[in-house]
Amino acid sequence: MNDTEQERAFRERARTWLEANKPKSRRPEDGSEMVAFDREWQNTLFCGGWAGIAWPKEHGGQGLPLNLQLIWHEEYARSAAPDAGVNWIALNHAGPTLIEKGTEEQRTRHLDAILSGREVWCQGFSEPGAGSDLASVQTRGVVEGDELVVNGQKIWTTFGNHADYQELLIRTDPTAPKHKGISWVICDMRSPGISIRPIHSLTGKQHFCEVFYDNVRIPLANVVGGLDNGWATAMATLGFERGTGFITEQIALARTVEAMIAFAKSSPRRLFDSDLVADRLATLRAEVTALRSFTYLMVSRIDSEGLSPFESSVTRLYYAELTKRVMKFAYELFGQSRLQRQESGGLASIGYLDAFRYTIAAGTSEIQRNIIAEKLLHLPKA
Amino acid sequence: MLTLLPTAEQLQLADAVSSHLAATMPVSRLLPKSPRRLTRDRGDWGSLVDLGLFGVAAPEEIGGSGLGTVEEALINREVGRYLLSSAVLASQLGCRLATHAGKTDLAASIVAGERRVALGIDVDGCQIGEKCSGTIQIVDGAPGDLVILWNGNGTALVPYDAVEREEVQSQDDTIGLESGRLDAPATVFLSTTQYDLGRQASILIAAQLAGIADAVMQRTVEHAVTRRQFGQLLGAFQAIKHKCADMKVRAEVAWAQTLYAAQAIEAGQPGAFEASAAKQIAADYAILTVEDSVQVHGAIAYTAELDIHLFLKRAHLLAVASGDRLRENRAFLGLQRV
Repeated sequence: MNDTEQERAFRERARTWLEANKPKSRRPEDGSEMVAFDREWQNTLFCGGWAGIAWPKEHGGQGLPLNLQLIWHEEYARSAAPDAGVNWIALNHAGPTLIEKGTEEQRTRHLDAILSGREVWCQGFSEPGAGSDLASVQTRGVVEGDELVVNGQKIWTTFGNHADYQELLIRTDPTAPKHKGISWVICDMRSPGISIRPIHSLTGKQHFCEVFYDNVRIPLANVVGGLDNGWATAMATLGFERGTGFITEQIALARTVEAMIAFAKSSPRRLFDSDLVADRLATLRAEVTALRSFTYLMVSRIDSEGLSPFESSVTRLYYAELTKRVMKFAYELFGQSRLQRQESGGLASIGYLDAFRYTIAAGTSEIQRNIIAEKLLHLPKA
Repeated sequence: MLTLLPTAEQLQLADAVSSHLAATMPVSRLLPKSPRRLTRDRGDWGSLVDLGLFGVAAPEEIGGSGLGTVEEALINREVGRYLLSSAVLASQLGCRLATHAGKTDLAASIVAGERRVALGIDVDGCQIGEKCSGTIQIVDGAPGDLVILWNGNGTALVPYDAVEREEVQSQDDTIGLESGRLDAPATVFLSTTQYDLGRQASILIAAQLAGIADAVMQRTVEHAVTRRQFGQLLGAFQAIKHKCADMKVRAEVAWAQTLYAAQAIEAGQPGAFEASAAKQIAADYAILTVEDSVQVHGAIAYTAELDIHLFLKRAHLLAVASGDRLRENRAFLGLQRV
């Protein structure tokens, strides 16, 4: 849409800075090299005055209004700068949660470190017995003096083996109803008693971990949002995840569809001779266009009238399901050669396998549909 | 920046149209008065004229309201909910075409309801130009009408009476459908480079489809909180809940894209890409939603007694109204036709 004078100037500034400062080398795919790369890029953003564009100024962020955030995301995606990588949880989960629910001391300790890439965070929510039913977490925290003693197990902890800190959900009052008696705590991942087992995903890459806690001692001062009040804190955290945090990824999805169209146009297999291919690609292009429009509409609404936190489930569900449709068709475009692990014109055959996580992580599509049905359409609970 | 949200005045306008249609033209008007025959309907044209429906974007000098595409989209979303005749869509578009062609008298007569326009649908790639020829279908036409036709070349109005017509049986008993052979000069013709009415048509069609998607979603939710089976409300079953949630997503996304396209045009952008995306999304999503709604309603929705099938048939009519999907796809992807 048409930029105002101020927006145009901001866009120009963002574009110029990104072009001059984005990493020149390719992001390493895993290991400590990847972590170092991500930290350095975050520090570059920090030094350039671009870290935490949505974070309030008093907490070290840029405090940009929504329109400028959106322009930043657009320019970021356009520049093909690397995504937040190992810093994603810290920037989109932990930081915003501390800003909203943390103590002054917790904010001072962590926010600056997060923005400058000095602290990598991971999430400790899911457990083997608590997936979609997150409120049944069993990892136990017992108060002893001014400490919590934690025992139990977490799973699907992305980058758990690289993280400095973890946002950890534990049961601190087992006698209370399941949504009560949970606490959200800051866990130092180097604490004695923590052991980590990396898990390989179906793509063959190591993405997440299982984390075991054996009498891990965490200061009570690390509880965020009040002891036994962690469910409310966790819902705030997930609200961020299901909301605007995904804008860059949405723009990236649109770029994938453009890459598919270019791939089909230039393919020696003359893919566009097929009406089916044209129909599918036209549909996907229209759908990613509509995803962008829907996000803009949401942003307009947040700006003017505020938004129910449940509305973000609509965006998340649409984005997740659409991502799977896009990646599946990209895979099909590779034809017989999809059997090979390959990349061509911005498309990667691994994308199809990787996309299965979208409708599972951050609340499965089924959970999102329940939220939409019960909270937005007011259908009865089962 | 983007201000996608309609203004309070724009929303008031849509509310006024909606209340009027709810009071005077509820969808139940289309249900069969006798067991066999549904009611054919062009709506109460006089009251639609009083609402200013045909001159939303027409200049005030000829009786129009001088508003823009956003208002038209908002109004057509309501028109979609109440399944008004496609002659309403055609007359709005006809008025825009006549206005842009400088045919002020014709535009004024459409605004005043003295002249009506029926929807023409290109069946096999007709010639649309100063002279029009080919096979078309006409929806809800009547003697004295003009018929509007458009494709990639441009848009034409031709006299209904100049078309060699034959009534055919429609899938939808609430519309009149004729097959026509056309070989006549256009009363008005503008090429796409002179005026891209196809873009405007796509937005109004998308808006009506978004209205259908939203209305049917609401109707389905109402059913789910009313009917009980196995001792609980239908809506408490996850299988039903999830269908309703999908309907909600589709209705929201289709409307968002329609609104974006309308705002883009008002902001002076070409908007053809946005409009085409809106029409495609809205058509696919409205149809999926009504199909799901039939399933959620169960056996009663298989009968002619419940009105849900009317939404299904109307969604298909709107989906094909602007011509061949395969050709549209290729244009949307920037491809030459093979």
